[in-house]
Amino acid sequence: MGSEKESHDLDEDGITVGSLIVAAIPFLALTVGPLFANRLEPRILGLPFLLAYLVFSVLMTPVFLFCADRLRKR
Amino acid sequence: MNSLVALLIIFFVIIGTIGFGIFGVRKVRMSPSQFILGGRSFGIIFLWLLSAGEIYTSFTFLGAAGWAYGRGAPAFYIICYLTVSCITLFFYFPAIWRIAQRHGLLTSADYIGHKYRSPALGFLAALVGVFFLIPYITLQLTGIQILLQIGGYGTINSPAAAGAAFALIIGFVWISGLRGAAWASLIKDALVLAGVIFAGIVLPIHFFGSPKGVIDAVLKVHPNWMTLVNGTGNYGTVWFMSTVLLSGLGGFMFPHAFASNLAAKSPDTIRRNAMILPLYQMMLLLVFFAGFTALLVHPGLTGAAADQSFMLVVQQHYPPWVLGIIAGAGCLAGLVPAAAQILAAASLLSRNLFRVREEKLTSATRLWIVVMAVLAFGLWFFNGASLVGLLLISYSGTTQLFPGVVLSLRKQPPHPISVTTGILIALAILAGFAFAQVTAFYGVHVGTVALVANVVCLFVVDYVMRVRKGGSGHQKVETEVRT
Repeated sequence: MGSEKESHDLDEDGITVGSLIVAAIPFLALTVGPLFANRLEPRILGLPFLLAYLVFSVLMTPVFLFCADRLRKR
Repeated sequence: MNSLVALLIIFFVIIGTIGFGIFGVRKVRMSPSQFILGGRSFGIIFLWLLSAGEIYTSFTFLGAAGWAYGRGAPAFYIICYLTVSCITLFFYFPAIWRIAQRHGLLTSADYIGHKYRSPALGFLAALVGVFFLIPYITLQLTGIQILLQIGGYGTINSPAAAGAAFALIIGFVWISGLRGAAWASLIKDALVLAGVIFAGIVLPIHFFGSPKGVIDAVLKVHPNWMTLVNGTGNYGTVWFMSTVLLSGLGGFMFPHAFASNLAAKSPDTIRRNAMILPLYQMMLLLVFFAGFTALLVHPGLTGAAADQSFMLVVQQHYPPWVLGIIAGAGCLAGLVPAAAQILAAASLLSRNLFRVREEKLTSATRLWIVVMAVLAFGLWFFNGASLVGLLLISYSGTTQLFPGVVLSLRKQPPHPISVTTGILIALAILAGFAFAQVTAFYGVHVGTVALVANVVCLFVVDYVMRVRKGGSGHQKVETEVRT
């Protein structure tokens, strides 16, 4: 285990567990979420619930990625 | 007369954009890195334009509306998968960019071959990249043909016209490389945005008072159109989730998408682009509204014909100049990505499959651009699948590179043989499903089934090889040397 300090491709990005967890939220919302969101009602701004849920998740993704970016070690 | 006005506008839109692209690169010397990657100098605006330009293709313009028209809720997967792509890109691509920059790597296959120190694996990656990009290029041609056919009001020979438009774009990318494509994206994106706003806001308001009105009207006729219907096998919730995952992970494995990210100026540019790109998905919401409107105004199109849905509405209810502008924007949406895709495929052929030396790389890549174009055109001639159908074939194959690319960044990457076995098994499974004409396995997209087999196989083979070598692991695949 002596080579633990050896430089590594991902080290420079400072990816932390926190940043991964924050980014996992929109990821799961879009890949697993549809299982629970496949409904027509309640309609939101006229959109069927499923579409409204997906649009909301997509719109929130930049916010989560921004937070993930802040959580990187720099 | 109508057709003349519309076709002339389409013609000037295409020529104007190509002229603008060539003007943008008039003083640039075309070294291989300049030709293929725009000299790795794209800042956030250029990278965003190019990524958005590559993502918003004929498929977005016609295919997404076609699915909203022909299938309803399954079409929603399209707004999800690119977002999933961006989330993963944010984490793994900056590291790849640094390695590529340090070692002068130009293509996705360069990266894989270099990182695994396996020219054979690089060769396989190039082969997969080129082979599965062809349906995507075919898709662009199909889109352009549909637009010219509708723009000509049925008066012209549309395959010939599409061929002519395609020849123009080949000439364009031959001259200007990736930087020219990025410049052309500038005009293309602006026009497509205008076209989509017209189709997704003006059309619904014209016919139903508001976008909400369209949804209400669709639900009256097709109560199940806005939710996923389970039980029928295909296109249920499981299909939806597996397709989002498959397309999401594979999104940036395409040779052209990989190249556009390598063309970024810095890792931060890639991360910033990944953050803002999902917002661009909202344009697709408007495309869905256009498809829903067409479903009620012009019902009865089935199969691949659904891809013509909203353009037919525009043709029948609006003056020819409106049709000309929208069809012109749509043609650009096919031509600009086709240019970037053909360039990426040609660079894989010249650099990775035929290993041309650096000094001759630009001219060899130009030669392969022509060959690829002829090939794609030939295949297109014999094809009848819908736009989304073509896209899903492309994604099924291309995504199989994802495990190898991402795992290459681990401290101890897997052995190249295990990655190769995984890809080959996945391709065999895809070929089997394709032969049996099966698109979903217990509701799961076949590409995702192949991806799971790929990953399982990769880990099993890697484990076996480690055990046989006596625990301490196989050769260190790479120790990075800093310069």
